[in-house]
Parts: sequence; structure tokens; C-alpha cells
Amino acid sequence: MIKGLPVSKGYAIAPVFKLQKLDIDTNKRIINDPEFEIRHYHDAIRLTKEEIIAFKAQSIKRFGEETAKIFDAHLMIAEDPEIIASVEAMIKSERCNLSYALDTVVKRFLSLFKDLDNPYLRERALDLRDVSDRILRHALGVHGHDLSSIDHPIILVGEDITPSETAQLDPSMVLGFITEQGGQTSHTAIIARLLQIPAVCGAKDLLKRVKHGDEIILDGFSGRILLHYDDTIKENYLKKRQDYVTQLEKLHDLVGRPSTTKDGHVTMLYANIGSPKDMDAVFHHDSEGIGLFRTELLYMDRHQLPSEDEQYESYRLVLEAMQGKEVIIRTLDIGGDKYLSYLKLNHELNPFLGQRAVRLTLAYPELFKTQLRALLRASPYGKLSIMIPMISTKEEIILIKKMLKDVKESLDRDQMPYGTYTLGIMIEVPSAVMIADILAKEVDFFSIGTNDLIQYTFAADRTNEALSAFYQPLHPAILRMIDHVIQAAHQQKIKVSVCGEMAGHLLQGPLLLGLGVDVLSMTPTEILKMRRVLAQVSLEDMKKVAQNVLKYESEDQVLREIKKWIPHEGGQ
Amino acid sequence: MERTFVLTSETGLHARPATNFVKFMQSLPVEVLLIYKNFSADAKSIMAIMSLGLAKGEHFNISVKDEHALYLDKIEDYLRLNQLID
Repeated sequence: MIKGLPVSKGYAIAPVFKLQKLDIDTNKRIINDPEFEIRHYHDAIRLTKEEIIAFKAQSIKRFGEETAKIFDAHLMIAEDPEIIASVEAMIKSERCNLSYALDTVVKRFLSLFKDLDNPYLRERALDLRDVSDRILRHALGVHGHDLSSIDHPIILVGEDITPSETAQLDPSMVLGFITEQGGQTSHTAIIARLLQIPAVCGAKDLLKRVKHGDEIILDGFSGRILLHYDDTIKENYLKKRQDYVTQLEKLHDLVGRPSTTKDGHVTMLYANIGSPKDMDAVFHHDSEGIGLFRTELLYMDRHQLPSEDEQYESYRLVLEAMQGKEVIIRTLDIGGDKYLSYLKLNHELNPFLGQRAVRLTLAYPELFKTQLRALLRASPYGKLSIMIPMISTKEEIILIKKMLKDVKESLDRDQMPYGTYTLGIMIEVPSAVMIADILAKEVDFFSIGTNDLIQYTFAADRTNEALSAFYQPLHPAILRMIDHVIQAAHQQKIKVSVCGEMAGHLLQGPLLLGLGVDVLSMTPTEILKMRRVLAQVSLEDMKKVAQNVLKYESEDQVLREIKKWIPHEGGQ
Repeated sequence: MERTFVLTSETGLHARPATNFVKFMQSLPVEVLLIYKNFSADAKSIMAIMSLGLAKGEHFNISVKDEHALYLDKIEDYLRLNQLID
């Protein structure tokens, strides 16, 4: 057995299809006819461009516009005049073969990119490799795997899987992906989640241990890959797979329908996202808005702060894509268990009770203002809501409003346009719960972050496994807090959403609606499941259940009660 | 014929601004060079432009043949409109 990082749920049992890196001979040879070699080069470029255009069309159909954009970059690389000129010059002056010349020129660019400190360029370096390999294959007539002709179910296994490889796949023949490299945000992971097929990344040494055609079992829930197993295990997995697939198929019928309860109340189900790359998933799962755009990802995995323009681009993309549906963007939430290597922060003895989230951004006003400027500049492109994490006092909101005023003045001075937005806060600290009535007068909406609210209410670090028993979302202590917040908010006629894990939980979500929550925001893949559950639940019943369970004494009692009312299937 | 500019875009000439910059240059029917430090890059090459690593606050020159001097104004307009220069 091999264990990797599970990046997309599901099960697969199928023969392995190994993507071997092609051996392309790039040794130097002396040639007689440089003109012929150059013509040959241009033929290969033309074929590659045709191929990329076809990939793009396929990719739009299968994955969506956002995912397919990568091929625009590939096209520009394929016809890059500087690369073409350098290769031609080299073939002429050294009378050498095309594969040597192209390989040399590409390596020169790759070494330049390596010296530049920018994650975007690292991605472009991979693209340059992908495109130049394709040109070489066409030039040498080396045909790679013809992935489009796979006509039986397989599990695709490779060191890495490139965008051009995924574009060729017939999704009905690929039951799973496994890569030796990559992680949650790799291209493979994103595509797998979109297609809703299981995937595991970081499966070390797998290519050495399996042969092409070996049947294996892939478990996208645990990250396990079984190479040897008996019939009982296989039967067991086949059944699990069948159940899971049937469940997914039924869900698909719910796309395009409103999220309505059995007694006809329309509810709002939003998606939590981390970057514009998640937008195709948002559409696949038919989200009614964005309830939490975590902006941390824009700041992570790099060596310097993202600029205003870069942030503006990301915010604008998401606002435009949602076409007037609400987009709640949370300002930087760093500290606690999330940190930025390039921001030298003081070591804290107790980071979860430290200078995190809004406390940090208020302490670094320049950093915060850059983000606020980017948000305001993006505001004309959609329905923007700005959300501030970890508010614990009214004074913090006053400071932020002052800062927003300053930012608007600076935009006016720079003659940069901005539109309208609403301002909300996250309720995740007990002090904010207790003064929710005061805070509600200052802002346009609340969003309850249940994960942090639970850890702060029980004073139990959520990353400490010894304390995991304290993670009790349905404990009356938590339910009463949520109830208190909703009462205060509705008194002031402002909306309450929930964007913690509770919102996407199929038993807890309906109870939250019963307590009066207006919007549930969750991982995109949970939206249709929640829609299906809600269709079988009456909101009037849930309201009664909610009022009853507020008087209960333990989470166990609450759980037993709500299970009577909400249909649930195994798992949760 | 050359003209000197100072890059004011926060991102430098990476990412999306670079892609758009190159697309614009490709739409011009003349040769354009971007000269930075001792390197000169074909302004129509995305790979060459990105590999320069041109950052905010740095000087660069745009060069066209003398008979195409008119295009320098067009380029300057583009740079200003897209907030690459002040």
C-alpha cells in the first residue's frame, strides 16, 4: 500500500495507465541543410498551435472558461518570436539539429526564470516545458501517449499531469488520477475535483512500483492506494464506489434548481473559495453566491506581498464571473496557524490568542490599505461585500471605517473609480457574540465562523488533537451563542451567514437555518448535497427543533434529536 | 529612436500586465525593442519580456526604427492608459 495526499474524493478500481516522460533525443548533431531544418521547425510549430487551439476548445467544453485560459498562455509561448528567432539563428550558425537548438534555448529561458522570485513565473516555466516538448514531438514524429484514444476505464498515473494531457482525456474513461508530485492546488487536483473523480497527489515511488495495466484500488477519501488485495476487499470497494457514483448522479439533477425546503422556503447556499481558480467548481456545483473568499492564498506560497494590482485582478475576476451575485471577500486572516514566511512577525507564545487577522492588519496599516484599495477598485465589477475577520470590539470597526474613508480619499486623489459595497464582520470571538447588538448597529452583515467560535468558546486549541473531544459544534453552548447573534442581527435587520464547517454539514446546516441563519456558505462540492437534504426538511419543523434543543444539556442529546428530523446517509 | 520610461506598475512586468503588453506590441506592424540594463528584448516576445524581471521604479527604454518614430507616442499612450507608467 502507498499513501499520498487525498485531493479529490471518490473510489476507483481500474488498470493503471502510466504516463511516462518521453525520452526525446536532444543531443547535438551536425546537419547539411539548415533551411530544411527551419522549415521543419515551423511545421512543428503550426501543428502544435492547431493542437493547442483544439485543447482549448475541449477544455472549455469539459472544464469551463477559467480552466481553459491556460491555453492562451500556451499559444503565446508556441509563437514566441524571441524563441523562434534564437532557435533559427542557432540552427544556421551552428548547423545543428532542431531538437538540440530548441532544447538549448528553452533551458536558457528556464534558468532566467529560476532566478526570478515570482510564483507566476514558476508556473510559466512549466508551461514553457510543456509547449516545447510538444513542438519537439511533432518535429521528431515521436507520438506521445494518445490519451484521447483510451477506450477502457483506467487510473491515470504520472509524475505530474499537464494541462494539455488533461485536455485530451475522455472523462468517462478516467476513473482516477494519481501523481507523484503536486498537492491540493496543483492542476491535477483542481481538474479532478471539477470532474468529481478521485485523485491522490504526492504518491511517492508509485511509478516504480506499478506496471502499466496493473489493476489497483484508489481511495480518494484517505489517500490510500492498494496494489495487492484479495477479492473481498475488491468487492467491498466496488460497492462503495457504486454507492458514491449513484449519489453523485442523483445530485446532478439538482443543478439549476433553487434551494427550497420541503415547505417551500427558499434558502441561499453560497460557496467558500480560495482563488479565482475555484470559479469553475463554483459553477459546476451551482452556487448562489460566494460566502467566503479567503484572500490568504493570494499572500501565501510566495516571497513578497502581492501588489495592489495583482489583488485587484483576482477580486475583479471573481466579481465579474458571479455576474451580480453576492461575493463576500474576507480581508487577510493571517496568524494563529497560518503565517507568511516573508512577513517577519514576532514569535508568539499563544498564536491563536495573538496578533492574528484584523489585529495584524490594523497593526500593519500599509499592508491593509493595499488590500482595501484593491477591493474598492474591484467593487464596480459586481456585488462586493467586504468582511473583516476576528472582530472582538466596536473600536476595531471604527478604525476600519476610518481606514476605508482614507482609502477612498486616496483613490479620489489618484482619480481611480470605485463602486459600492457592504461591510460585514466575522463573529468568531465570544466577546463579539456578547456585544452583537452593539456591533450590529455598525455593519451591514454578520458571518459566523464556527470553527474559531468553537475553539474560543471552549478555550480548546483546535489544532491540539488531545483536545479534539471539545470540538462539539452542536453543544448547547455553541447553539446558544449562534442564537444570540442571530437575535441581535435580526433586531437590527441585518443578515447572518455561517461560513464555518457547520454550514456544509448535512445535519448541522439545516439546524442553523432553523435557528434563523440567512445564508449557508460551504465547500462548493457540498452545495448540491445540502440542496438535496433541504428538499426533504421542513423549515417550520427545524425552527421548532432549534428552539427545543437550545434547552438541552449536551451535544449527544441534540444530535439524537436532529437525526429524527433530518434524513442522513451513513458518513455524516 | 528611443524613449525612456519609469515603470510604476506594482507587479512590475510580470503576470497579466506582461501578457497584455505583449499582445498590444504584437498588434503594431513595426519592430519594437524593450531595453533594460544591458539587455534588449523583442517587445513581442512574452518569454523575453518576462525574463527581464523588470520591477517597479526601474528605468527602461522603448526603441523603434527612426522611420517608425510615430509609434512611440502610441506606445506611450498605451503604457499610461494601463498604468504602467505615470
